[in-house]
Amino acid sequence: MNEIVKVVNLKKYFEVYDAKSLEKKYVKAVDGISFSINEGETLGLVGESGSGKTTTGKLILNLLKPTSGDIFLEGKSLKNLSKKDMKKIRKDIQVVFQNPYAALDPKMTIRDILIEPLSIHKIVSKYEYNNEVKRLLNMVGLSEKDMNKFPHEFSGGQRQRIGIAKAIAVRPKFIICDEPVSALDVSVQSQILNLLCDLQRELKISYLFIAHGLNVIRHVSDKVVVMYLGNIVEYGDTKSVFDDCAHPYTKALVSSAPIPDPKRKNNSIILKGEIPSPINIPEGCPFHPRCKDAIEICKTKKPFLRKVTEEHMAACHLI
Amino acid sequence: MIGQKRVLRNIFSKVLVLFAFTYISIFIFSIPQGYSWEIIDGRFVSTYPLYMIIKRCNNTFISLLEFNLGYNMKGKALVEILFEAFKKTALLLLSSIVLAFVLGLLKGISDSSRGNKNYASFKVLTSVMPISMPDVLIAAMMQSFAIWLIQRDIHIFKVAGSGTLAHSFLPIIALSILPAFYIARITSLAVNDCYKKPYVITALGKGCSSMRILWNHVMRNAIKSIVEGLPNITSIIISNTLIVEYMFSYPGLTTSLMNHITMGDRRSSAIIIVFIGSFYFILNGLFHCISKLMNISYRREAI
Repeated sequence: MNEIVKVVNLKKYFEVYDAKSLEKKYVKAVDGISFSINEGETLGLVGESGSGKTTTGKLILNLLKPTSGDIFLEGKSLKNLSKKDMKKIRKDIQVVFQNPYAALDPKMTIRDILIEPLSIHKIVSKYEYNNEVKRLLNMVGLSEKDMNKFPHEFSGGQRQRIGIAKAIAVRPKFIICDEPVSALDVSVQSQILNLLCDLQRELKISYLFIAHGLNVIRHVSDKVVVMYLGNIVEYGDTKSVFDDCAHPYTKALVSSAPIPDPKRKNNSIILKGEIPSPINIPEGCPFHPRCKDAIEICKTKKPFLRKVTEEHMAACHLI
Repeated sequence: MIGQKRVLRNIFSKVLVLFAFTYISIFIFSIPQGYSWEIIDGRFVSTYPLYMIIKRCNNTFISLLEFNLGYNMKGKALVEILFEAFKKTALLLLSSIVLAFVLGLLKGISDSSRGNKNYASFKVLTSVMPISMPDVLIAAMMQSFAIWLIQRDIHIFKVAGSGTLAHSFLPIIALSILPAFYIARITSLAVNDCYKKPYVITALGKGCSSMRILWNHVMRNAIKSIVEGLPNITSIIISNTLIVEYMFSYPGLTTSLMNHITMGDRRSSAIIIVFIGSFYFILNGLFHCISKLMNISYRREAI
């Protein structure tokens, strides 16, 4: 399969000024991550709040400049691109945001919202705008009568459908879905997830699916990346990551996911303490202060991703 | 229906306030010069009977309602005086409001960080400093600048007086500076707020140019907050008119008011004050209406 997106040793440090010690410090939001996404494939990105998932998405979208590392789209580096080249690239990478209530401009009608990307990237001639808008609305399960309405006239699920229509309007190769269902109720969540899967099959789009919910990730992803404090702690195909997780953090995450079976014994692993500050990431393995299996080496040496199986890697000294 | 009732109630309350303001203003100016009172043998004794003051006040109030403004002490028709002065003040006020709005918007946009926080504090400082300057100083600086230009044979501005359009340039600029920086602060905050919104990030992701984002997405949404701040500048701008017209010897409404107070023509002074007050109410109401119209879709949603 063709590789659509490749992320190589990507780092993003935010500079902060510590008023107490009068020193410059760095928030290591993303600290050297690498992964790739193939054509028509979904990569699930999972982790706690503050683990660097959204920052990774913004780096790929080029909304943030990476501190180091590189991102390749179909083998072409996104580093040091001119504005003109970047505009061309933007056509291929689109985003669906978490909050459908805030992601649509409240002063624009749905028609204007959908026409904007069409006109920027000259997808169709302006005589075909109306037909294209109707086609897009039908694709995401909305009526063409809705095109002259404003976003506030729609429900959350409908707004997210409009957000998806906007993303697919430019016929992208790759869409970043930044927690697209976490603001929606469960019944609407499944509709949106099914819609995303249908569109993927139809248009051969690749997704980077950022989410908190492990069940959602399991449902939509082909491969999964588990992030902790800006680092990848486990990476592999969905089945092996969820069924044979190797990293203690992934084990804790998987065990804490609720299973609707009252007879099943609750064996969830409760992690001790809070996620450390990304300004002061612990030395050695970043997870060692919360890991119940930590050994001496975990405190001094940072583990790198090691192969568990052919399609499965984890960053732990215990493997 | 509920909306219409609310609008009518709002208009009625505003008209009531205007009437109260008119009556109180006329009452104050109906008190004759040198009026005093004292208590003699436990009795309240005034130099002029109160019922006479009220009668005078009522007469002026009724004549004002009948649009019969009468004559001033010099025998000139007050309608003519007011009309002439009003034309000049209206030109001054409306031009300065437009100038303040344009300058304020541009300065506000340049002050806003728009994702880039370089020099943000400096930009804020350049907007806050003029707001804290007294109007007298701004007018004096304008005049000094005009004199400096004239000394170098550059006759763009007239230092004071009236007669030509050039005479109104400096007063318009002097009057617009304070509200312009006020609008700049509101604009800057509103623009910064909009830049954090996900729909702007989405627009960036779509490949919109920075100008398109600014005008199509940010300003369209920020303008609501900016227009909401406009009623506040009405009071700033009208109170400053008195200083600016006086310093530039500009024959507007407030100069006319000052002249009539100096003459001791209390009836005419009261009528001019009522006229200025009405102008303030109308301008303020107009800004409120624009602000409400801008907000109409949100109100519909809330209902």
